[in-house]
Amino acid sequence: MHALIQGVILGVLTAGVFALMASGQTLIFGIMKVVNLAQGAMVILGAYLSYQLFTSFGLDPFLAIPVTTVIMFALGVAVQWLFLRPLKKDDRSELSLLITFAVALLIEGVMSITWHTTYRSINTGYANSSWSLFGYQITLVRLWAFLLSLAALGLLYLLLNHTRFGRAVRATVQNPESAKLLGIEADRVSALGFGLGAATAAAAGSVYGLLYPFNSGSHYDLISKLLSIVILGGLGSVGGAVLGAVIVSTSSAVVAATISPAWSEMTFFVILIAILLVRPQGIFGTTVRGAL
Amino acid sequence: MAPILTLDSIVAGYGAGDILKGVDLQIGAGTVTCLIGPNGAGKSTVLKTISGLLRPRQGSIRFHEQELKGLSSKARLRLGIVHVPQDRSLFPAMSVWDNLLTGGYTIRDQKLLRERVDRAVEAFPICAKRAREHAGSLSGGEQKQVELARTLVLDPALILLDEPSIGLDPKSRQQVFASIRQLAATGRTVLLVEQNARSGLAAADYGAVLESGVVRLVATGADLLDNPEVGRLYLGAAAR
Repeated sequence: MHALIQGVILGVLTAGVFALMASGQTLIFGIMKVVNLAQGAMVILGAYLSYQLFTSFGLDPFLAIPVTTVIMFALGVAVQWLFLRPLKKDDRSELSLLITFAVALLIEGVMSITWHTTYRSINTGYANSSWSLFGYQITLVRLWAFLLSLAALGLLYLLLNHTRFGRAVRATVQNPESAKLLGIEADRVSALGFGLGAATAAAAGSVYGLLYPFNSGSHYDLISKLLSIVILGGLGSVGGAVLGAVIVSTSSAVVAATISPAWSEMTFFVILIAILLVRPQGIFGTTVRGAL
Repeated sequence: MAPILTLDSIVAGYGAGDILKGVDLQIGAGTVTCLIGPNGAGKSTVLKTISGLLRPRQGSIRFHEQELKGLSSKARLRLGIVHVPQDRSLFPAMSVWDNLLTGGYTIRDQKLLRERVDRAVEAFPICAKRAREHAGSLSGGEQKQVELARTLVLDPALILLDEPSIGLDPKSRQQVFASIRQLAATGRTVLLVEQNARSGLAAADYGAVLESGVVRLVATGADLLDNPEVGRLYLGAAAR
């Protein structure tokens, strides 16, 4: 029982980080119907940027987030503008898979040249600090990572629901032609939306670097997890991404703690298949164009 | 009455074919004009060329004597031309209130936007009653009322309505046409396309018959309702 509860605690705390990564992925899909295969590579690039700022300037990864998110936002806007915007609307869904995969490989190449392929980790002074609460261990880094992810998701929620830009994003997702007739420029919204997705990847990357060792090829593992999360939650739903992350992360941690770590990685794929058999559109997916 | 909008020999279409083959039409300021005609005549295409969703291949469109050719949809919106498309154009998973605010996306001045939304809500009280509900949860008639309220947020001079009564029950249809008259009473010009030709012409000051991409006949709404040939071809029975 102790191992089970410890697993749940670990899973929920880790879920925040994956929810943040996946919210960017699902946002991009919601706006443009693009499955961004480069999201994992963007997370790892965010982790490397954070690593570099920490090793070169001693900047704490949490404090580096405003810097890395701005850089990655600009990168996201550039990727959308240069590679996705020229695609014809009818071909976008299919061709964007190839293009974002190519972007992922490009980012991986740049990371390999710049930082080589050795595994890196960000070791802050508090990396191994933990609290004991009723006999359960809570590592400080995971708790901060969880709280930061909650704050970032809260900001994303406020941005989407209480700003002019957020209304434009939701309008474009739900009825692109009508949005255009109201003066909303879909290309601009798409570019900013892609930038926002990349910025969430950067924030999640800084935290990821604190929790796990990474190298330039780590994005392959990440993208399979991220796709599972967004499909599980329902493509295009931010709420679904959060729930998907909680399910994936908690089930993996519980299986690792109670059965064997060897089984934990495949646990969420089993859950994914089981849920999709019952609900093919995912938990929060609808047949109506997205509510985000 | 001086025309607010003049279409001169408009040729337009999709792909290789032409749908509009030389449309000439003048719309008087402050009037309601109903465009009728068979399916495929190009009625919706006329509205799309005016709002800028479709670029005409030939001809000119003048609004207040300003040539619209080359202007984007957004620029035309700023001139006061608002297009309400045929399919339900609300954002279904957004609240009614957010739909109204999105209607004023091009208005940067938040105070002005709020004033405009308040005025729209005053004209269409359903928006206040259902403000926090998702637009998609409203009935077809209610959604149409919200669509019309949303157009008012932009304080438009010319409103283009594509099939406003489609899919509505008779009571909601009556409400929509009453609302259209209400819009005209505030000095706005309305050009509507309507399959339900009898109701559309009854609500309109003028009517125009579009056939095979060309305007065949323009007259007052009442005259077209009395025209036996129009009655036989488009009103489903002999004219009354």
